[in-house]
Amino acid sequence: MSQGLNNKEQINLIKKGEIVVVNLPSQNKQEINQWQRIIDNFKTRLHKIDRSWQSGTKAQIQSQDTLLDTRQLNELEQILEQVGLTIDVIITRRRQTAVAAASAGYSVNQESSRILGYKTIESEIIQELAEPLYLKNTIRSGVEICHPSTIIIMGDVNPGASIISHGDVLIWGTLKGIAHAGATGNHEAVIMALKMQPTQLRIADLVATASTLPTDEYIAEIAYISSEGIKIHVASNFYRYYDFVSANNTWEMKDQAKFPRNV
Amino acid sequence: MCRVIVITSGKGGVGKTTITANLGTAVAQLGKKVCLIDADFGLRNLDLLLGLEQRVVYTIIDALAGECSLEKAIVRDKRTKGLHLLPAAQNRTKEAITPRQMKEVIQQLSSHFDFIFVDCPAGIEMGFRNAISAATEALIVTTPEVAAVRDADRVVGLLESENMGSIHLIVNRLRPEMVQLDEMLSVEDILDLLVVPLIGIIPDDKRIITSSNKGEPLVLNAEPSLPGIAITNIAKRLNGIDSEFLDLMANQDSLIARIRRFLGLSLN
Repeated sequence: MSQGLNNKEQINLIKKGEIVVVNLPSQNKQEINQWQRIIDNFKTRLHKIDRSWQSGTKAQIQSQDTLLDTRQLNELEQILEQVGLTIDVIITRRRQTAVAAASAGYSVNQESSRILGYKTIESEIIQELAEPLYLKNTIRSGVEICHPSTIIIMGDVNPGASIISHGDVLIWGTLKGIAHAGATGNHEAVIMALKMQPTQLRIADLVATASTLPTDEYIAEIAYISSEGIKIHVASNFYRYYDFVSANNTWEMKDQAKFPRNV
Repeated sequence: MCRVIVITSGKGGVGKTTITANLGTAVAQLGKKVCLIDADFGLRNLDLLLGLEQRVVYTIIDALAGECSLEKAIVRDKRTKGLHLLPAAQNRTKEAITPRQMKEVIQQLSSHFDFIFVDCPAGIEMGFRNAISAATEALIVTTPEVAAVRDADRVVGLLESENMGSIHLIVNRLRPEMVQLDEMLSVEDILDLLVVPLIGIIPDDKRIITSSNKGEPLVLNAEPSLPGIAITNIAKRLNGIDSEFLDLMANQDSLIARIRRFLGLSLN
């Protein structure tokens, strides 16, 4: 289940001091329209992300082993411009990309894979992006949001959309699509929504479908892993009654909560 | 200033081309200069619906290849003053032109027209990219079906990521009697999911089929029809003229049903 979250499949922005590093995913030769898909995904996320840098901030393109032509570089530049980033340098391991970038007038830094180990980049991504992703919009069909930490969404998640997170998923709206919390195997992760009508709930390696009965009531609910699989509870008092027991790797009712509540 | 409006849906068969033909005619009837562009390369239909099939000599491809001027490729509709059609090529596929070429064509046309409507092909591939490339406004067509609404949602997402200026929704082929019996999605259900401003609701009517087959847009028909009025209303709203939504449920309602509907709405 953990392959559901593939960080390398999307463009990631990482703020490093004065500059922003733009990490491109590595190329998948089997997929015909990978660039289009990645760019679409990037544009969708970009408009919703709260940017924490000033206009004109320099961007470093980390293109790794991806083959890029001038058209693609221009496309990327235009998109980054919209969020106030200007391309400073393009770092690549491919000669053709370096040539294309140089002829389009960008500064280029061609590195051999020996100097820039793949492993170090990946671990950096995980660490630096450990802050939550906060999106303010409806997530529509066909959009997939992946993030190596908690995802917070102000808006609905429509059917056909999926939210995949290493941490928790909090939806300040209606969840009608798919949510996957703790995608790398974290059983403690939870999914919370103001209105739960999911197509599917996934936490760590477990999958559940919710009852499809539509209700008009708005009750914030939380999905968690119990000893009997994924369960849903009213969110407002969940933390009062439940504790995560690491020995069992499940959420369990606290002892004091087992007493009758209406005494 | 010229307004470039793309009519799109994602799903096929929901009535994009029919609405383009009728809406274009209705806007032209309001005294505007209108150009309809068929972006459905390889599966062109717009000329048929307008009854202009026999008058198509050149297509957008010929104009781009420099075999004729753009003016020559445009067909003028003799029945409706101000209505023009730029036909697509039937012997090509969607990859025959690029979004950039589409943009150039529309830019050249924009000084001559008040409205340019682009009839988008179904799907979200190259044909869709071409059709939306130059548009600043979009009309999403959907029918009250789960599949159509789901696809519309996908398309709205794509348009939003492309920074489309304004997006409006047309609900096509609504059957009030089925909504009444809870057998069809209601307009409220659709709006609840899509959260896109509504610009018109067009009821289902078999006269749309006959008028399409005859190549005569329904709005041209002297005998008024509900779909015709609905489309004319959309044309007015596009031009900033307020016109009330038709109460399509009126015929279906008993007093009790009206009260129930009112209560149901207020509960939501």
